[in-house]
Amino acid sequence: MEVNRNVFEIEGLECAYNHPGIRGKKVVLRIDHLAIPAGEVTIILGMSGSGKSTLIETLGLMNNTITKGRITFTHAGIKTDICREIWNRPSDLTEIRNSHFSFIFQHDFLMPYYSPEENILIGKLIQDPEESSPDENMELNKLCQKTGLNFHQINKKKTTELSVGQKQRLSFIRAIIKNYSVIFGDEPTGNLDEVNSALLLDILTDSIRQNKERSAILVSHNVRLSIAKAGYIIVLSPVSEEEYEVRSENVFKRKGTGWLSGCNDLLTDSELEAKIRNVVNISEQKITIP
Amino acid sequence: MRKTTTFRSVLVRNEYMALRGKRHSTIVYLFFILFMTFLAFGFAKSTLTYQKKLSADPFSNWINLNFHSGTRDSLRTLHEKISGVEFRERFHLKGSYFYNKGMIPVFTRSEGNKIVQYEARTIDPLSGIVKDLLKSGVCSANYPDSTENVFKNEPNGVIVTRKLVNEIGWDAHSISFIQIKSPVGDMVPVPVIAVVNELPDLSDIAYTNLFYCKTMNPGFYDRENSCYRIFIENMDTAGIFKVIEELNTALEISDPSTVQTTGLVTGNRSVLNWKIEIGAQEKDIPISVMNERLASLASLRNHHFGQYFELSKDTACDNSSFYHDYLAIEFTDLEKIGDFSKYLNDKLMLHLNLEVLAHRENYLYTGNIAIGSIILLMILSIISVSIYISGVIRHHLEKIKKNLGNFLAFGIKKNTLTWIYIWVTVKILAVALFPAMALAFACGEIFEKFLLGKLLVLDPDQDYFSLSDSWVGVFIVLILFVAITRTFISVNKILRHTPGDLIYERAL
Repeated sequence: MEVNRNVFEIEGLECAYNHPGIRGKKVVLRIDHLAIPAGEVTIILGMSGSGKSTLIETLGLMNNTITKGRITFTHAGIKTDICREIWNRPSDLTEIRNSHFSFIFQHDFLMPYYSPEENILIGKLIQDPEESSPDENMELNKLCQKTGLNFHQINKKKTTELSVGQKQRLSFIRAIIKNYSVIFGDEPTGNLDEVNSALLLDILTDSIRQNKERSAILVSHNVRLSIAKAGYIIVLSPVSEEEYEVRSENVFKRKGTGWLSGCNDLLTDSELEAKIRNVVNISEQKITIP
Repeated sequence: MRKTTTFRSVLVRNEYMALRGKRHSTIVYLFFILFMTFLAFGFAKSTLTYQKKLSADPFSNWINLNFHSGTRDSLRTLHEKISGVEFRERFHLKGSYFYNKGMIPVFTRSEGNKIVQYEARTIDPLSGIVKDLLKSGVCSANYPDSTENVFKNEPNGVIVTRKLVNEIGWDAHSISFIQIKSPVGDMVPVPVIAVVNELPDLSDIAYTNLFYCKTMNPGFYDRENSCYRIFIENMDTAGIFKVIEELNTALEISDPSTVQTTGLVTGNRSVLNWKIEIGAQEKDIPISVMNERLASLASLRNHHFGQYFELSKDTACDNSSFYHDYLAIEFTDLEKIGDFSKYLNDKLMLHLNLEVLAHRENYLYTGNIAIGSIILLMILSIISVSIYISGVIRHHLEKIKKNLGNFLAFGIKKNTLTWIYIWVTVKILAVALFPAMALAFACGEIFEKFLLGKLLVLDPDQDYFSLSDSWVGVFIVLILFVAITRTFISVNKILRHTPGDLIYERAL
């Protein structure tokens, strides 16, 4: 029996929102077919307003945007339909979010009056509300060290006294310390410099490599960093000014030192970067990827 | 040591600290509202209780109508009507009865058997006023087990005031009998059923219409008994043996079998009363001499005694020869007194004393005003507390709605968050409410004990400030219910949005 190695399979999907002044919902994203592989860091690229966050929200059960189509989520060989109807079953929604999903956003969303320790642990505590032993949690200390934070020093401060970068790293640790299947990130390193962004993506990649049932689906505007760290890249292409889609030629999978597109074209990193910039119209950034 | 932390404990602790505000401002504000409410409530409710007590007072909830040739027929018609249940329910009446007023001469112990006239009125043994009199303001009840009709065992008994008992030289807690003077001048011991603080119509003695009838008819006194009879009150057995010994000598009794001594259980059961009957003697001594010799006996000093006659225990007396003085009408409450007055005026041409009517209606009005004020006070307080709490919670949730979206995305149940905020609300309310109640109680009690007495003449039996009332319980339950409901609504107003809408502030 063939093991399904895709974490998400999308068929005939239409995502839409209510727009002020428009009757009914307006479709913003169409995906005929898309399979997102498990055990990879998948990065979604696209222009501003191209539906990157919409796709993350839809897959991460943060918003019910589906007007048509089907999404299948697979974990440990068990398939779950994330269709429109799941939103009528709040306990199922909560169960999937709680057991499988973790999130990192561009903003840290740390509770300002909670201690740094409490903020880090809150995601884990939501998943396991009965017990946690933060003092003895070696994983936490190790993770903090890896991200360049001294946990004991940080924890002596109030959360509001931390720098933006420190808070962003705390929110990263909060997401990664949870027992997750898929970690969703909407510009998760948006508030960090390139060095620290790359560092966090490396930690995330390590976390996924330790458990092949884990995956990461991130939204980014940083093309070069995405090419350097992703295993799979999805570029959202415009259909019209307000509607975008996923085309097979704009889906890329890392193969050796290069990239294989959905049309079986083999591309180098620079060719991929040029192709992506052509689609998403993002100007080149003068940066060095570690 | 291993530290155990749960999501619930982290959220409850931090959200409580956030919601209680800087320098506990939320709690201080709620404390102030609740303190003022409890203080005002404690005084208002006690005032209402006092007003109700006055209103339920047997001296307040009845009226008199004069019985004379002009009103005789109307009053008899009215009396008949009041015997009907429907009529009583229509005007909230308990019942009615005819009664008489008069003066009764009573022997005193204090000034050598001096006789003093006391005002007396008759009373219906089954009327509510008798039960009310014996329920409140009673000093001693000699027949506490006769709950339905205290006059049943003693139709010739009386209810007397403490004032009378004191004036005739007895103790209100040990008196068994008063000695009244019959129309022909005999001393007649009458059992005391109860001693009370007050009696209606400023009377000092209350007795039955039957007793009244007997006192008006000399035939009811046992004047045929030829024995010399001595009635001795409040003496123990050793004392009575001493009396008999001294009495045999003083009255030169040769045959002790001619002296019959009987202990009486009638009257106060904690003391013994005795009657001694002395039959015919060989040496005939005049009664006046016998009285003088008894007065000199040391064993009888400080005891009331004397030659007496008994009133017959007959339960029938022909009262056709005299009219009653009044018709007394008792109310269950005074709500319909205005309608009743109008009915009397329109249908029976009977007129209530307007002053009495106004007085009774004032009781009703002030009672309703007090109830209304208390209810308004409670509503105002509940609204203030709930608006404040829900405002604080709404403002707080608005500030952290993105974080709440993040919690929901991580898979927290909406119900869990809702219950956490409800629990925090209850905790904040409890932290404000119970100290506010305790301080209000302390302030109220201090004011009552040390200041109120300087402003008012206090009724020693009345509590002028009290929080131990079921209304306080109702108030606490209501305030919790409304605060919980408002919190539930406020939290759900935020949490009904999807995590995405909260995080990206979409369509909120």
